[in-house]
Amino acid sequence: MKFFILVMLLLNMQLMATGPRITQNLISPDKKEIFALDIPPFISTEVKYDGFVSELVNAAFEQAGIEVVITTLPLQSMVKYYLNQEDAFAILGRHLGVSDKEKKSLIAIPIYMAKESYFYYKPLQKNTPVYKNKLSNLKGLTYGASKGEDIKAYKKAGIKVKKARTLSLFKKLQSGKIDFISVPTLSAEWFINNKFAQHKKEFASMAESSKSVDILLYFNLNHKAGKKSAEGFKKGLRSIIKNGTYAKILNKYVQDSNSVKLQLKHINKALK
Amino acid sequence: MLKSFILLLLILHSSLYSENAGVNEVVLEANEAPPFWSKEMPYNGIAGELVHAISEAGDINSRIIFKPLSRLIDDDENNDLGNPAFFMINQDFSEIIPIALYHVSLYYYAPNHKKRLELKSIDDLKGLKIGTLKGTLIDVHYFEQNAIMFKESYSHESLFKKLKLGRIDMVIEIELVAEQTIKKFFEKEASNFVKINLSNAASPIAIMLAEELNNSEWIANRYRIGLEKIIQDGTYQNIMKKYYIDERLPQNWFDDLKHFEELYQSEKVQ
Repeated sequence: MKFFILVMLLLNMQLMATGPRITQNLISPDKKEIFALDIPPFISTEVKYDGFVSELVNAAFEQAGIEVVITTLPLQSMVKYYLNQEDAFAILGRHLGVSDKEKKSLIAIPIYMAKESYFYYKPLQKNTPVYKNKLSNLKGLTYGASKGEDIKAYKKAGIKVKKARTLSLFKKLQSGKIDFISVPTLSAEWFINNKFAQHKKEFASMAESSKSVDILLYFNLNHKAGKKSAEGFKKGLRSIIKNGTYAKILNKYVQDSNSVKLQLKHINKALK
Repeated sequence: MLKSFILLLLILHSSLYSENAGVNEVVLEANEAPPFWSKEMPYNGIAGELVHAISEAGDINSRIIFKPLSRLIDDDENNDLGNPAFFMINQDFSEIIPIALYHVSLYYYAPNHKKRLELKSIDDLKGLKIGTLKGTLIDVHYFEQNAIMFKESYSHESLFKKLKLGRIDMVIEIELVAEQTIKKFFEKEASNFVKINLSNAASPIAIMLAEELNNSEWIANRYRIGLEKIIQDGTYQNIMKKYYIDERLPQNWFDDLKHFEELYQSEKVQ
């Protein structure tokens, strides 16, 4: 036993894969915990302020006087586990795979409407894929879906589907295991710049493939504070929209003023 | 009774695959993280010893090799050992089998403080200097926003020496490491080092099998059978006793282990 203590202390310390991870929820015992699905640059510990959607959510809660911590998880199934098995206070993210039955005990509030496009890897597509707002144009190709995403339309159009996490989708795209993916434009930029910088020019978006997906905060009505906090949060969100905080946070990441206006219009409409 | 039934089902299920599995050896990669993983320690450390015992009981050959953490994280086709949270940012796994836990706590040196310190909210930490190991802070901006000051050190010993000297007010450390460090360097005044329990203090130590690994389901079942067997026959508890002061495992050990098993299995249940 003494030997192991000696070894333990003599070895130079380095970052360990079995070591402390000092996260918000570790030292905030009194705060309500939100479980969020990682999707940079919106929600991620790899991004400043844990991503700008996290920043928006925190600002609205702060305005409402409700103390929360956001725990970012890598898998959609882990977020769902906390919702269903441990009655989580709230969950946050895109493509969380919430069923119609589950929706009955949730209050959904959109935080940000992400613009998405289909992306493909140019060196592996002999013919440029053409979508033109019709999935059947992509028949025979393999689509890389996010876990939790509704894939019925792809199956119906004769498109094969493989599911993975966002980073894996890019890797599979590059290795030819899938042919195209749908991700928010800002996420695509983030992943390509941060993880595939050397192959930046080889990723391309399909023409006329733009659509919108909401990043939603769901309050759990099965949690004792769920309903009241949802009301408080809505007020907080309205306040940060009104006092300019929402636009100020967004302007740091989205330079196009029309996009910011569009976001504000969309969120305001949803809050009515 | 239920556990025995589950074990029987696992054995029957895995036997369906055994003839075609063709698995000679599973190479698992770890980084130096004593006392849990170390190529210098007998049986490769606490968790290493568990992996070897699980493998023997599960009738599967496993070999642990050691690499720097950056290489483990960068390689997205290998089998990893450790806390999945460090690896899942970059890699998808076909199977994650939690085999043990580690717990993190706050420590302070009582003679340096007139009042008993406690942690009811993050506000209790404002104005205090908290010592941590280099590279362990994750939500840096959150702590900055809440005016929490962290001072990083490169060794466990340095953290606790600074704590005693009053250069820092608290230390966040793995319980097992903290207790052994205090015992080694400050045995006569060990009671002056006071522990504050944290919420969400337990983290998993797991075997993670690569997404593309052949027969990963069969291999994972062998590990699960091995784990269940050594828990049932007491081998698991006997291994852990060697490392824990007073030979006691932290409370709720097996409940927390089950929680992590369910958490990482949830993807398959969906």
